[in-house]
Amino acid sequence: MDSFLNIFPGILSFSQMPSEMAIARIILIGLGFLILYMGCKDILEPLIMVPMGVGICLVNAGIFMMPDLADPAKQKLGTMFLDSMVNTPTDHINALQVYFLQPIYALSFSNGLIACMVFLGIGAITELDFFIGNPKLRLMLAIPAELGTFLTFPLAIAMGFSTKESAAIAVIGTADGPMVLFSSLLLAKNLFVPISIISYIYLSIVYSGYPYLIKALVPQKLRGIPMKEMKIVKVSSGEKIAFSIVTGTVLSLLLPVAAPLFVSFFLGVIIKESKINRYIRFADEVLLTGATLFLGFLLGCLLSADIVVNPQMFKLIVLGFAALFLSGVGGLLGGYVACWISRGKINPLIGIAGVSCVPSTAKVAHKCANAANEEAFILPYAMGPNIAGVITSAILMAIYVTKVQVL
Amino acid sequence: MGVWDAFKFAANIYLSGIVITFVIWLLIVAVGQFTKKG
Repeated sequence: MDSFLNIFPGILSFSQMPSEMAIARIILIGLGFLILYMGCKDILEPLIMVPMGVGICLVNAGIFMMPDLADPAKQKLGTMFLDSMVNTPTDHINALQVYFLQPIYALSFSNGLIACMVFLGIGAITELDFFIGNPKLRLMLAIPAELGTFLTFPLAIAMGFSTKESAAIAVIGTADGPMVLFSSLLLAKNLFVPISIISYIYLSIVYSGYPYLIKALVPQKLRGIPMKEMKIVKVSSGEKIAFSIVTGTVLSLLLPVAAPLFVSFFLGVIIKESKINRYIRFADEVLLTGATLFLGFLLGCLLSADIVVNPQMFKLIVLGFAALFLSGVGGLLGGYVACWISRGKINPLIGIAGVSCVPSTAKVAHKCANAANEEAFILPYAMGPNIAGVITSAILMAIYVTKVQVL
Repeated sequence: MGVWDAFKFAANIYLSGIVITFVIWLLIVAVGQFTKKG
């Protein structure tokens, strides 16, 4: 039996680790299959979840006894994928020679570059007309949709997390994956993997989960307001470029810690509005697509059994849910206020689109409105608060990082 | 940091966010006026 197991070190490794880790590994392999299946069936967001599911399955299957990089005379359980815990420059160089995903992790994850690449791509496909056309309403709707970002911080403190960890967890409420990644790397590197994975899984569930919240809080009559009397104002490319460069400069001046995200997003917008087609194709088809693929795959590969058996994981699952639930409720409350001020002309569902997560929440708002009234076509109106939500999310994340680091 | 202090801290951040968002709105209005005149 032993000689058989020695041929297959992956199977042997189950007997070389504590039993709770072995059970967690088996559960994770199953979870990987489930996420992959739900991604393929469009129940979860496929762009992130399909590569993440593959990563979770394979990284937890491919564990075996291998030489310890810090001390080659010793052996430890590991994989050929990557090691996220290397610290010294020598270990970094050694890890780059061994793990096939280490170069991507070291050069694009641990410095937040991958979040910036996603933001550049998002900027290059964002239609700012929906936002600049009526900025007061859009921004007014985006602010209450950050309720989760606000209230999750004291909740996390109450659950025993440190100030920096609580701030990183609160940023889940911004409902923006790259933002969560960026802030958790800056504030709580020890929790970066579980926070990012929980955030991305929840963001994928938003598309199927928020409709239940909407149906519970908004009556059908209000859900079906068609918004026919509202108009989308067309804005010139020159105005959008001027807005991008001025806003990007002012925000970078005010909150330099998030300047990489601001510059990436607004550079993407300027590329789009300058109509440089080769850059637009590169930012969208190459940069955004490639970054999203590796983001999902690497996050999956980082989800190993030792992270799941961490007792803080359950608290993070609860707090992540609370953050997105509260932001959704805040968004709908903002929508109610807008509906009341406009005397029933504005569909309150566009408020939930203020919860960033472009474009899922805008699509959810539209889907629910259309289900309540076939004449309700609110997607263009929901895209405005959706884009405003990205900007307010970046602002709140940057303030958290700035203030918490000062403490 | 206690829970009440954390709530006040988060409220402070939220209010700062509202102020900066207001600045963004002013910028949009100013840029709009400037580009229309241009």
